[in-house]
Amino acid sequence: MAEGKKVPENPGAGPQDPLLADNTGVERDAYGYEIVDEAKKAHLDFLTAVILLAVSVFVAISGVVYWQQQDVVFYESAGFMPFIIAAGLGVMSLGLLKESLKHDSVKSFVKRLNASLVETARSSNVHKALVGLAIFGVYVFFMLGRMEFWLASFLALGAVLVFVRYDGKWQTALKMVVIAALCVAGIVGLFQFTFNVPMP
Amino acid sequence: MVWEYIQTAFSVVFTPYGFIALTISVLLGLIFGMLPGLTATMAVALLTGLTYSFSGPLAVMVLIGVYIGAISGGCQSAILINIPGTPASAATAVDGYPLARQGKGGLAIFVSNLSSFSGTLLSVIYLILFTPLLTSAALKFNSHEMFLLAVFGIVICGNLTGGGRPVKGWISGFIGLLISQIGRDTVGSFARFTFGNMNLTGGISLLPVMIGLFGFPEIVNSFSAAKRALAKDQKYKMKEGFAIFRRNWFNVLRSSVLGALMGAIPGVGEDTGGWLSYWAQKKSSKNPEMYGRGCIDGVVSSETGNNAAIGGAIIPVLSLAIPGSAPAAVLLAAFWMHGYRPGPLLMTYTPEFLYYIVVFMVVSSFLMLFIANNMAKLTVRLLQIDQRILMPAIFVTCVIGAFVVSNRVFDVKLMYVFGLLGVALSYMKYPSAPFLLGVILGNMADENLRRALILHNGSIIPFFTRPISLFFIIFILVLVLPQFAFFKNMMAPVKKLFARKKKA
Repeated sequence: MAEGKKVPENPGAGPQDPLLADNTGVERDAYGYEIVDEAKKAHLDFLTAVILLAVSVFVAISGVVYWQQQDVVFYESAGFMPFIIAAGLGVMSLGLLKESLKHDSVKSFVKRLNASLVETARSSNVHKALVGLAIFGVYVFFMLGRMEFWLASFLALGAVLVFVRYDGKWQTALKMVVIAALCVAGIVGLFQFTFNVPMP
Repeated sequence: MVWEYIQTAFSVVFTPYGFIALTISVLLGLIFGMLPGLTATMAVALLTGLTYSFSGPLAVMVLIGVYIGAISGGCQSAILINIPGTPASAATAVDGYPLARQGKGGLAIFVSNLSSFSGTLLSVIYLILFTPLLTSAALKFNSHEMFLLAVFGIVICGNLTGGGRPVKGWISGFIGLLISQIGRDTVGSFARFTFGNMNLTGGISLLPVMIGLFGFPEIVNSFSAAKRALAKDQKYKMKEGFAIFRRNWFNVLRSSVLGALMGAIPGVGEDTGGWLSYWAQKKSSKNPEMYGRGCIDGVVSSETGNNAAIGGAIIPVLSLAIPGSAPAAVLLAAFWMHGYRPGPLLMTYTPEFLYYIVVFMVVSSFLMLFIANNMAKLTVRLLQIDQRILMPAIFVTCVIGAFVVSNRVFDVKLMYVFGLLGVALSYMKYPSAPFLLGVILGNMADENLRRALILHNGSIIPFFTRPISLFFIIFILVLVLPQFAFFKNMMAPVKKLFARKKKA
C-alpha cells in the first residue's frame, strides 16, 4: 500500500472505530491508521540510516576480527555470517540514507531532529510512558531476584496503576492497589500453583 | 487390520478417562498457547513429564492434544492484544489485531479457530497420503536450500510487513539476523558479540525477544491517557464466520499445503508455515493493500498454515525420526519415552502407531474447535477492560514468560531491552515481525551457509546448479528487484510493450 494515500472501501474491515480516535492530532485513514507522510518522517529515516551504518561498520570489523582470531578460511570462520549481515545492512542503510536525502538536506534534518526531540520532551503522553517504563525498569533490574516475586510485582504493578490512573482522589488510588493485589494473586495462582511454573 | 487399529485408537479416546484427559490436555494447550511466553514446545515438554505413568496410547493422545491446542491458542492473544501467544501466531497478529480494534475480534477468533481446525484436518490427510513423498521432498533440502529458505523467509516477511516500504522490513529482518549471531556459533563454538558477558554466550533466547518486541509497544501505548478499552462490542454472527470461511476455501487449501510442506522440512516449522501462507494469500489477492489493516483472509491463511504445519512436522518424525519443528522434537522424545520407535521401521514394528496419531489428531481438532470457540467468549471480554489496567498486568505475565525459558532473571532484562527496541522500531515505523523471524532463522542461515561453502571449498556455483536452490534464488530476486529504481527503469519499456499488446 502506497503510504499517504486514503484506502478504498475494504470488505474485510469496518469503518473507523471512534475508540481509535485519540487526541494526538495525527492524521488517520478510514481504518484509524496513521497516514505516514514520507517527507515528514524523512529525518527519522536519516537518523536510523546513520545509526545502522555505524552498526554495520562495527559488525563488519568484528567479523574480520573473529576471522583473524580463528585459523581458518574466511567462509569457515565465525565472522563470516556477521560480515555478510553487516554488508547487507550497510547497503540497505545507504539506500535509506539516499532516499531520505531526496526530501531535505542534512542541516535541515539536524534541525528537525532537534525540534522533534523538544516536542517529544514536552509531550505529557511521553512523560507518562517514560515514568511507566522507569517503574518497570526498576522492577526488572533492581527488584526481581532481590525480593519475593509476588511482592516485587505487587509494588511495581500498584505503582504503575496508581500513576496512570491517578485523578487526585484517594479512592481511585486504593482501587488501583486492590486491583494490583488481585492481579498478582491471580497471575501467581495460575502460573505457580496451577502450572507449577517457577517464579523469578 | 487398518480398521482394527482405528477402532483401538477410538477406544482409547472414548473411554471416560481418555476423553476427560484429552479434553483437559487440549484446554491446557490452548491456555499455554494463549499466554505470551508459554509456547507449544514448553507445553508438550511439561506434559511429557506428567504422562510418564500413562499407558503409551493415552500418553500420545494427551501430547497430541496439547500440541494442537497450543498452536491453535496462540491466535487469541495475537488477535486481542497484538502479542502472539506463540511465535507461530505472529502472522495472525498482522491482520487479527486491526480486526479486534474494529470490533471484530470475536469474528476473527472464530474464523481463525475454524482455519486452525481445517488446517489440522487437512494436514492429517496429507500425513496419511503423502508421508513417503513429502519426506523424500524434505530430504532434498540440503544446506544450500536451507540457507536460501531462511533468506526467502526474511525477504517475504519484509515485503509483507514493510507497509509499502519493504526495505524497512528487510532492515528489521537483518537486525534480527544480527541479534541471532550473539553467543557461541553453532559450527565452531566461537563466542561472538558477547562482550565478556557469560549470560550471552548461550545466545539470545527467542521468547524474551518476541515478548519484548510485540508486548512493549502495546504496554507503552496503554500509558497514554487518551486510550481506554480497545473496543466495546466484539459480537459476531457465526453465519458470517462460515461465509468468510466458505469464500476462502482455496486460501485454506493452499495454506494447508504450504504449511504442511514447511512443517515437513526439518528445522523450519509452524512459524514459517504461517508466514508463507500469509504471503501467498496476499500475493494472490486482488486487494493486497488491505492486508495489515484488518483483512480477515490474512488471518485464515496464517492460521491454516501454522496448524497444517503440525501434521507436516509429524511426517518426518514418523518416517525418519527427524522432527520438523521444535514441539515435534519434544514429541519425538516423548514417543521414545513411551516405547515407540518412529523411523523407517515404524510400520514394521508398530504399524498401529500411525493410525493412533491420525485418530488423536482428528478428535483433538474437533475438541479444539469446540473449546476454543467457547473460551473466546471469555477472552474477548479482555478487550472491554481498560487498557491502562490490562496492559500493566500483562507485563507481569510477560516477565514470567521470559523467565521460564531458562529460569534466568537475565532473560527478563533482555525482554526489557528488546521491548525498548520494539518501541523504537514501532516509532520509526519498522515492522517487528521480520525482526523476530530473523532471530528464529539466523542460526539456521549461518550454519547452513557455512556448511554449504565448506562442502564445496568455498564455491558458490552449487547454489545455481541445484534446482531447488536456483528456484529460491529466482524467487528472492523476483521479490527484491522490483523495489529498486534501476530495475523499474529497466523494466519500463517491457511493461509498455506488454501494455500496448494488451490494448491491441
